[in-house]
Amino acid sequence: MRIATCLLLAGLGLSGVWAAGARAPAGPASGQAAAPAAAPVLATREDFIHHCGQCHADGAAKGGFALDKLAWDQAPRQDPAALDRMLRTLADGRMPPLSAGDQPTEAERQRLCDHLRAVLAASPTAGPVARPARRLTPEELDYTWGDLLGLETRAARDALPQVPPALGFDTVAALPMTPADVEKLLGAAQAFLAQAFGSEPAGERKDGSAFKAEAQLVGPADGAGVMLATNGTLSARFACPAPGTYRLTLKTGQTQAGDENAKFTLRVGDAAPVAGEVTGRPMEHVFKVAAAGEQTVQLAFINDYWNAETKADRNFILQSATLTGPEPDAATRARRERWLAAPRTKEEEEAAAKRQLAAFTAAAWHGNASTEAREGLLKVFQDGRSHGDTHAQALQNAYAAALCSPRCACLLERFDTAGSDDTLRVDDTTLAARLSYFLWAGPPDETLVAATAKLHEPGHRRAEAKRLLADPKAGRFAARFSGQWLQTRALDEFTPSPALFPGWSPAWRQRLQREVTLVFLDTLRSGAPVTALVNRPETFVDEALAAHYGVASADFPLFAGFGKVPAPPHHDAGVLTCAAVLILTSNPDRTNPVRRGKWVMEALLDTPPPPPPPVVPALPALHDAQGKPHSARERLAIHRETVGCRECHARMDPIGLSLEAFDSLGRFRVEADGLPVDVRSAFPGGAPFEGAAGLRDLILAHPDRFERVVLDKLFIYALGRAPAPGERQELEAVRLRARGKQKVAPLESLVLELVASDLFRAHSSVRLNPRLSLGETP
Amino acid sequence: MNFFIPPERISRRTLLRGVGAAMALPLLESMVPRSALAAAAARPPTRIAWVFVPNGVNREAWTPDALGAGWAPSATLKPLQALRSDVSVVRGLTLNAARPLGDGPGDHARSSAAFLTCAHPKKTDREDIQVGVSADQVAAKELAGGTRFASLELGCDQGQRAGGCDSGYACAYVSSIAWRDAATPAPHETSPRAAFDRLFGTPDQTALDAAAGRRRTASILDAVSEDARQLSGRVGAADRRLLEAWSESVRDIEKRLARVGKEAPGAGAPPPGSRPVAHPEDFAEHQQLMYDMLLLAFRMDLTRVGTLMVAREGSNRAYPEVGVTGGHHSLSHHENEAAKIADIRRIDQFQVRQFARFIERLKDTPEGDGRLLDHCLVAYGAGIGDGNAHDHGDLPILLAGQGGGAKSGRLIQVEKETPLANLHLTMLQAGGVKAGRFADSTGVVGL
Repeated sequence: MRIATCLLLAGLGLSGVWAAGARAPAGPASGQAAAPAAAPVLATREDFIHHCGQCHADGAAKGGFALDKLAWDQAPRQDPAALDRMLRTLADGRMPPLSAGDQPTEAERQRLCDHLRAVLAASPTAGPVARPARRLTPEELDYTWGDLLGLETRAARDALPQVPPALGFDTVAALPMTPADVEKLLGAAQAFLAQAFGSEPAGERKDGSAFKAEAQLVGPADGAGVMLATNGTLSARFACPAPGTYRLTLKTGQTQAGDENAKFTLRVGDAAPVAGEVTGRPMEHVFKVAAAGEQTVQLAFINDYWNAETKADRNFILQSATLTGPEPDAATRARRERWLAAPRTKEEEEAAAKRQLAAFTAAAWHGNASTEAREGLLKVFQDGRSHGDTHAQALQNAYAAALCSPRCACLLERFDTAGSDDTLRVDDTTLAARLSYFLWAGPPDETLVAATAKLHEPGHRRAEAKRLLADPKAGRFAARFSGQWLQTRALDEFTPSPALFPGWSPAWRQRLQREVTLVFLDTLRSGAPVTALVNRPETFVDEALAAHYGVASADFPLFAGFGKVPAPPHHDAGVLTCAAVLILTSNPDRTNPVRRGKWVMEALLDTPPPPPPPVVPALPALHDAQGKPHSARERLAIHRETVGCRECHARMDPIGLSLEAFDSLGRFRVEADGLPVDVRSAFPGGAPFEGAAGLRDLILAHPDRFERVVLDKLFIYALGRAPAPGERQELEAVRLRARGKQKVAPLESLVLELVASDLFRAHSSVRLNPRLSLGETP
Repeated sequence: MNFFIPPERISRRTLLRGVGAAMALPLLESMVPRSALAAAAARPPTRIAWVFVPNGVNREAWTPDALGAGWAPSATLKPLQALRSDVSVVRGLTLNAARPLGDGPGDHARSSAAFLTCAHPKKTDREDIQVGVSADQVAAKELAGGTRFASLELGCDQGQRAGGCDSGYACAYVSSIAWRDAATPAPHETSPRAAFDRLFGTPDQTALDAAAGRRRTASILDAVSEDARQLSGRVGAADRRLLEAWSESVRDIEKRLARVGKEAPGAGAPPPGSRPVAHPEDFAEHQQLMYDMLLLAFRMDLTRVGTLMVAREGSNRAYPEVGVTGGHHSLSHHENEAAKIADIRRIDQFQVRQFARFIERLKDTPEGDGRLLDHCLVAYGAGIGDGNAHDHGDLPILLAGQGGGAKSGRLIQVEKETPLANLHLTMLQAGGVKAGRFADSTGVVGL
């Protein structure tokens, strides 16, 4: 019976099975849950009691967590989340707290963590849960459409609302469509197609009489148009809906007299006048327009002739003026030729449309094309034709429908039923899309499509990923990932008070973000260790940013736009000392050490502090009773004395205070609020550290933790979900493989090994997929 | 050939002149859908709208004295001085669903998510968001079909682009007040130009093009909805939800398109020269333009339900327009510093001033035998009471207009802990929705 289901689905032309569309997969895992392999016992309950019991056992339950409550033997089955929390706090060094005294040795900590990972990996309820299919973000839509037809576009970003991030990334959110979204999607798709194919050049015809005439003698011409009987001008305004090349066709006439034809000059906008002569043939004038808007067309009659004796009279007639454009450029013409060309005869038309639609959907539908759906598009085409649309217009309608289909605008994942263990894995076509949307934020190219059948092999995935990273399109990944992970996207809304940031313009938003993107991309491409993100002797600036950092631009080997330059003094801690980060963690008018501490804990340490208690006691006033100013340090110290604030601020404040040498615009300073800046800092019970360099060294001292943070974020961004507790062991193995024989894993290796790992193929755990009914036959 | 030329940049003033001038012309009547005119002859329909401001207010400067008619404006409400007879102040309403109820911190996310839903949002930062249907969407659903748009959602802030939003709550909660269903926020338009184009169509469509464009669009939508429907039969429950919503949303537009096709030629065409800019940099101008869009939509009876989210909840924007260089949210926790409290008052008053201008123009717009404001009920308020304390009781709420026969111009003191849902229910009923209850409502607010 199960086989029948598979056959039925195969009969619908699906190479795999639609995600969650199938019931039970074939193989031994389907009947009953296969007994998980027993986890190796690397540590015992007593080991944990030894290190954690003081606060979390024998009735103590600090933070609401008690080992007593954990039924040790069944814990993995009952509550993988609790074990996962234990694992994460242990692994990142949050627990046991320094204040608790005895710390486990690194080896001991490692052993406890390895034990928890192994237990979770063997747990039947700790595997990945399937995430719902998601829509492409507006940015991904633009890249998808643009790659498809070979151009750059912002059509989707201009029309569709941004996707609010979840878990910090827009690839996680899965918001359903609303009518407003559909409307915008359709508008964006049509705007994009108009951009790609050019609109059919529009024509605007004006009768000569519609021109404004300035001459002594003006009259209607015989037939149509306007006649100038003395030297004078005619002018009219024409709309140019888009930048591009336009063609103006003038139909002129004359009453001829004397020894020459009527002559005139033509002037479009501010361009130099060109000479014209009435010859009986229309005059064609081609001109370029840089921006959409109105253009003034002016004609001047310049050789009036009048012989009072013979009554010989030369007059100038403008019958009509027609403006067509914008004319398509070479790339647009090539696109029209490839995608919209009409066959020579009407009989071939439908076959041609079918071919064109098949090619279009093969590229646009991420391998999700079906005959049935293509029939629907053909109907759109036929419908257009029967209502008088041209072949090209009717095809464009069908293409618009293809772009608005969930097959294009969603990532629908399918899995293979092959394999006998607990995990369902996505099929090769889905893998290709996962890979390209991870590293290009766009669809697979032809090479990747050609390699699709081999993508289930780790080596091929790694090789393809390496190729993708070398492509310029990897810059999208760098910008999207770093902008969300490090939150620099928030600068899109940054508008400082002009008094505080002289010389600010909206271009600064991109400039600041670009430095961070380039630091990330450089770390990725150069094979540098991942810690080079916070430790690097050089950065990227353009002239304005160099000036912002107070370094003369002449000191830098600048070339067009951004250049790689030695980091300005004090700004050598990578993203930690990029102006973008220092600004986004400040208030509009002053630094905010707490927010900076919170950012470091969230982004770089992945240990977000718990939110403040509901009623936050006020920070003490800026001045003491005698009117003497309190420094930020003093005020926070007073705040930390409050019970309920201390726990978290003891971690956030020291971090933020060490960065006080940078003002709210990210510039180095030695004085704040009239007091010298003091960047000495320490965590309670920890060794002192000083400034951004000291903070950086703390991160460098535990490269494994930083590697884990980055790998976790990469996982969430790539797969649109958090790693499941049962996947931690494999994720740790990925980290170790990425590190290889080196001291610190290169950023590139983390990406490549994640792609090569089995995690990258996982769809969901059979046991946790609520839409798969195990042991049931249809 | 265009029915108007898109101006590169029209200042707010030009737009207002445009609107004002057009309003004065009887010609404009030809632009109002005939169905609306027929209705107007008998009794113009009641329009309802909600305006949301973030971060609560400084209560001390907000609260006016003197109960009953003729309330005395407080410092913050000064801009409403001349409009006192058209605006009521409601005191004592409570948004219980925004309280922690065991979920700990996150008052900002809960404030916006609960403001119009009066439902307690599920604490999650993943894709499994859950809150409730908002009052405006209840009205939109009930009144759909009567006007070109069931409802209009407007705002000045895009959703937050990076990071977590508030204490473990997904960003969708802080950036939306309108919710189509418990899991689907209705996205709001932030660009005045985009809102305008949505209401009236883009300017490069001639009348002929518009008909051909509608025919093409209908054909495209038909294919998309059928495709999504077929797909949804092939996938599992979670994916099915996405695809069904896809298909339903497409059908929704198809219906609207069909309605537009049946309207009289020229119906719903905008006043000439009124297409606004896409991205105003000045915040006062931005707010005014969004209010203008709501005004236009109401005036031309394109919709009868609207929301405007002045800024995202928890917004930390500076207000250089009124000399405030600090961030709104940071300042709202004012640590009892006089300078910060003064800044908060300035921000509160700035928002009220923008609202007052909107009400003034509703009042200056003739409709039927009276003014547009006679047929509107517009609520203004926050989901947090006092920003410094993060409380959700005694919310700052204004109610403008005489729609549904409301007796405006009073200071209404409701009993302590009266649910905000009572106000929503009152408005729904005034707007013609047959509802006996909304969320946790216990009755209506006596108008």
